[in-house]
Amino acid sequence: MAANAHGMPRNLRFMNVLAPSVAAVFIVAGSASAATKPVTLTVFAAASLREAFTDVARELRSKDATTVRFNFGGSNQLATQIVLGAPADVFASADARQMQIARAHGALDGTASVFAGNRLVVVVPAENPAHIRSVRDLGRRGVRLVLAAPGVPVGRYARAAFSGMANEAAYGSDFERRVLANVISEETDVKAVAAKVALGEADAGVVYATDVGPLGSRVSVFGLPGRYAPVARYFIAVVRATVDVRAARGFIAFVRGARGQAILARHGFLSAR
Amino acid sequence: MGRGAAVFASALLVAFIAIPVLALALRTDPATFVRSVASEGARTALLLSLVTTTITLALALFLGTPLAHLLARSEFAGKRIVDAVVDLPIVLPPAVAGLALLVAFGRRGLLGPALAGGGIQLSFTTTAVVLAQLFVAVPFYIRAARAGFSGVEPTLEDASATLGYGAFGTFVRVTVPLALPSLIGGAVLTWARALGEFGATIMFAGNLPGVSQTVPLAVYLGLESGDVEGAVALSLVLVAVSMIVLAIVKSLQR
Repeated sequence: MAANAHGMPRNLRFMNVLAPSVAAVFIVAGSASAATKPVTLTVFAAASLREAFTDVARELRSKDATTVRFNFGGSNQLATQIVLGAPADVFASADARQMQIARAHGALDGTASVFAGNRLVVVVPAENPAHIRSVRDLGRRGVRLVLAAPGVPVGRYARAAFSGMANEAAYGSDFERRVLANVISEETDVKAVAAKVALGEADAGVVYATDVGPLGSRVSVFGLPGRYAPVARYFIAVVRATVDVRAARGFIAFVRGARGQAILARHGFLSAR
Repeated sequence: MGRGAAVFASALLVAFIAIPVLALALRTDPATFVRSVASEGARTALLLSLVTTTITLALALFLGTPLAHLLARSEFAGKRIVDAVVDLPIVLPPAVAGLALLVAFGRRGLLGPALAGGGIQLSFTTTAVVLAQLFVAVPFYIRAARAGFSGVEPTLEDASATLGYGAFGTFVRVTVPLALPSLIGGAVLTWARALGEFGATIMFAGNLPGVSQTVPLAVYLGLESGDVEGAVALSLVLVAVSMIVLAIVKSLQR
């Protein structure tokens, strides 16, 4: 349905929208501004983008009556959903790999572009029950560590960092093995990792620098040594199933433009360049 | 409603349930299925599910049987409250059950500090998997066992007593054999519910292969990581098990 609607006059497309929730969004958007034609976009975005993209959506709504609905989750989960035909307009992934998976299945329209970067950090609960004073302590026996699952970008980045650190004498060649032996749970996305640490169920977790702000005073933060901590690169692309390719491109242009980049920077993301 | 309309509505509903299950089977082929189920990840999940559900079932029988008998045979103050508490997990959303378990037995939960004082850590362990399964599944056994015990004629138990059996002897030699179909039916349903447990498990026990990643979690995580074949194969195993469970329950009802 979504694909057929592409290119139809707007009123016809409206008739095609059968899902009541979607219709409701249209009605809400329509009543908010009767003058501008309402557009509703569905954006599938990496969980780490939650706060920043929510701000982006707020600004877009006030600017040009574009309503953005989000499906936040692990980028791998989103890529799978898109490949299986989920009705998304835009996909924003926290790594190149998941974007590549969507591309390989012919699920993208055009090419993907980089729009932000992010750094990895270790978070521990504010009371620091395992007395972690440095990243090296993550390899100590009995530390309850939570990572994202290996397929989730932040989980993959974290494992790459530990693997790199194992080559350093200061950490020891068995560092990676010791750290991974401490993992008590592999979570489905970065926000789930952050929640387990904030709840105090985990002694430590690896998240993005941008996830720390929303956790407030509930956690303390350790940086990962710069040369082993990979910088996460975020990619964004139009999904082929989009109902409105122009609006989807408009969203991407906004995110990559000065205003979008300023919002991302305010939330701690690194510049795309 | 005319008969034709009724038949049409019925056919629609049956097809709606049957088609997705059929689609799972059509999504794979024997070679892919065998390869997926034989993979290390799948075997680890299957073994963990087998071990945890067996322990859950044993706990349900050991702890649930006396409670079911009590509810069937005795009147006591607060019985209706006990009844309602025991039934609650059947209607409670599993995610709520998981959160409840976490705030009760988690590290910072109600009993967390006390448990930690005794050196006990429950959340994010295999024990947590069993507790989550027991929480959501034991009501099915208690309900069935209670109905079974209620159906046993008290006069038969009295006769057994006059023949010299004590209360326990009567229970084991008279009550249990007479209630056996209900007990087995309840046990099978409880085991199946435990096997399918997902929401409470992932919240209270987390997800770690070999520790807490049971088959339903492996299906979910497998799909998330793009391994559709693996997720489908494990799903088909659960479908097959579900059908066997259904066959057992149906044959007992006959």
